[in-house]
Amino acid sequence: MTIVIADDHPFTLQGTQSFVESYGYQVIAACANGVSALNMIQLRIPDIAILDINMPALDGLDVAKKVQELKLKTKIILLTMHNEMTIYNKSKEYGVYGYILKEHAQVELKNCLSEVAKGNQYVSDSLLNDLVSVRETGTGELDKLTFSERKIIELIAKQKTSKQIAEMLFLSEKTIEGHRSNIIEKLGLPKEKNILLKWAMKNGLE
Amino acid sequence: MNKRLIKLWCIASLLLLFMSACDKPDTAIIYRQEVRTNLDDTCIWLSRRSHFHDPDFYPVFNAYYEKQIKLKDFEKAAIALAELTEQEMYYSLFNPNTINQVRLFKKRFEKNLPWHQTLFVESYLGNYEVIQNNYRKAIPYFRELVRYTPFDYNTCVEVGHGYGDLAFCYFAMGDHEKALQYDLRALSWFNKTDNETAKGGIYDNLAMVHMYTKDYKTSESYFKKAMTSFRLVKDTSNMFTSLHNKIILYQEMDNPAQYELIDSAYHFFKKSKFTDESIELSLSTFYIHMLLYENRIAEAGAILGELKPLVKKLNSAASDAEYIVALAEYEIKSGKGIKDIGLIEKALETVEEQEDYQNQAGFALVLKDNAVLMKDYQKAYLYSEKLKLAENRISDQKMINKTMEWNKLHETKRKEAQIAIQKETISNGKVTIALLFSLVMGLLLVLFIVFSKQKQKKIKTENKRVQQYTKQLLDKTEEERRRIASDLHDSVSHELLNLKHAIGANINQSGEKIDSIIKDIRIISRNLHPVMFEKVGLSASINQLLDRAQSVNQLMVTSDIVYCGGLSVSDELQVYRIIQEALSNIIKYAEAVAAKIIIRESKDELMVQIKDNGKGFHVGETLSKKDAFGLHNIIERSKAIGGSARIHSDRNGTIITIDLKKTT
Repeated sequence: MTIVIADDHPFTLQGTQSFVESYGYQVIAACANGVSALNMIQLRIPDIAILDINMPALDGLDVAKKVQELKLKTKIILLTMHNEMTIYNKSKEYGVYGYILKEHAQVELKNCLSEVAKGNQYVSDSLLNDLVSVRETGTGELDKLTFSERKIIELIAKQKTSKQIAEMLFLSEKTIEGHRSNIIEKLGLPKEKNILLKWAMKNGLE
Repeated sequence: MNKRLIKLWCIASLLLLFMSACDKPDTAIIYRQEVRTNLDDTCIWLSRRSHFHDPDFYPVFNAYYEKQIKLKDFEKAAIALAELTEQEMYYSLFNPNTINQVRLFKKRFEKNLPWHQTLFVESYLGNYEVIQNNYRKAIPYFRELVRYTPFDYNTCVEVGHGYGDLAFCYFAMGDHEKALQYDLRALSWFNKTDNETAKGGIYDNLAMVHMYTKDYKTSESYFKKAMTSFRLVKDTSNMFTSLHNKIILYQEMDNPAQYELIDSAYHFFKKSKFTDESIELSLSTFYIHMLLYENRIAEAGAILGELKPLVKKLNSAASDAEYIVALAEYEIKSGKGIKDIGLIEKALETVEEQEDYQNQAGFALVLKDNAVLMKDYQKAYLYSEKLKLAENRISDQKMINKTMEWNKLHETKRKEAQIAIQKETISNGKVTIALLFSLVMGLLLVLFIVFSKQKQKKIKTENKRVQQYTKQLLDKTEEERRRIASDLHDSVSHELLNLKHAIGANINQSGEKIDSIIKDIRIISRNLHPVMFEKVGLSASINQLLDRAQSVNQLMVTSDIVYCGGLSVSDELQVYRIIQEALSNIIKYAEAVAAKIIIRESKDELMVQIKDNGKGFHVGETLSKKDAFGLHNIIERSKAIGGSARIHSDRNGTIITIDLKKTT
């Protein structure tokens, strides 16, 4: 198992290298920027490349994109400070195998490496938790619902029709109807007339 | 109000000035006929045209003239003699006595007077030779005349006549080139005066010259000009002369209208009771010609009989010739043949010597016709050859060409003169133009002032707004810095402080603390600038923004974005900021249930719309308030990327629309 690592912070680079080596993997190159990392990957075709995102000239995402374009077999793991869904989504486009946050590297890197080595994808738990953690926690039942669904049920409680709700939320009536049936399903409610209104009243959502 | 009145007055006075400047002289006449004040009553009496036929005319003149000679007042004598010769020349009646008197005067008294007082001498003597068809003898007299440069009305007219008479001599001798040349010179002198009779005479001559060069169109147009001139001064005598010449033109052209013209001219003359023997003779001979043509031979004979005393009185070779030819025509037509053939043959010889081709042709024609009538074909051939010779001489092709050349030269000269007049007009008009120019400039200035004042006002308000915006921008920047500072201080520093305290106690706790610090810094950084905007792109960044607004602010925001990257990254960032600002306004003030972001991209335009169903606000009022930084921010950012923002708001919500032109 050959690995190339890249990070523009020398200490982080060194730390990562010693971590990786401590797990029993062979680091064939440690690069200080994206350009030399890409060169190394093209030259040596390692099994895995662990890349930081923010690097001068060519960043981690650029390298991942190039690797994808060149159809190299090297699997990319991004090791970054960015806890951002937007960036994660972008990295998925470039066929990145692993996405872990530096702050949790100690805990997650070993696991991630072994998963990716097997050909599986690995995404940091804390990244997926990010949005959820910001959200206020309401009643247990409501937690099952998405933001939109909760907004809709609030309006149902105010005795608004689907048409009114659609207008208020700048959505189509069809979308509202779709959300309604999703809510009923998620809450495990029986298929009755006005069941959502009744449920909303009962749960004091007015 | 006062200002407006003053302005009106200014414009009115300028207009008045402009109009007065438009009054300008429109003729190039330099000399006008003056009423001569130094004349004796006798001379005035002598100068009247009607008095010439008075039986006392000559006695009155003689008495006066002899008296002045005796008194050695040569100037007065000259004036009287000039009046007499003028009358005789006008009526073509040269009294033999007068001729002797003039010759004597020339010999004895001319040298006592300045040249301009004795011009009539040469003019009269020259004209006398002309009447005798002695053109070669006449020419030196006229040459004498045209040596002088005119300086007033009288000299101008005399010299003009000199040229005109020269032209006539050459014309009669068949030299059309010289005739035209001198006629045009004569005209140029007459044009400096208001003497319409003289001008008309020259037009008449020009018409004749053109007639013999077969340029009938120009000829007719000159006759028209001549008629106009004569009619202008009611010169009946010359009107008839011109009419007579026009008849000749019609004859030349073989115009069938000639007989009609002859008939009307003859009867018009008879009716007018106008006395002029030479015109009467000419018109009568034409009439005879017409009568013979219409086979009214008896009538023709009667008129010929009437003319006999008239011809005798006229005493001129020209009128003799006219009469002889008419008589011969009559005799031929009546079938008897010419009675006195020797007279005509002698006359022909005379005109051959005189190089008078006009009369040569006339005599040769009747002699030929007579010979034909008498069946003397040898003679008929001889005369038809002579006729041909004369006609050829008259209408020599070379001369025709030359004439045309001269005519063109005259045209150019005339145009030059016209240009000179125009130049004068222009210089006169310069004042007008200057006034008009200043008027226009004044108006323009007023307009400019009004316009620029309005513009200044607009710029002023705009400047004020920009100034306000800049100030707010600076304030906001400071506020932003303060917020970052306090964020860092309140969260990061405190957390680090806590960490410092906790680090010894519990390692797990320290880890959590550090995580929370990282999270805080991440939030601060995210609020400052969208993370990796360039990489992530506008749509994803907006959606991220909406997600956060939804989860943090409980505002339902949906998006409908159709965008494929038609803007530069920096413009995209401005669009992102505008949406951020609008969303932040909605969250802060709108009390909306939901909001929606729409982006539409067409071939060269981009539309961004942010709408909410909040309580709305009064757009104009809010914009004029000092704290409307958010809205101004949206407007200014839109302008900065070459777009425009429209804000519509009522109690059902607010719609902000930004239209952009794509840069690529």
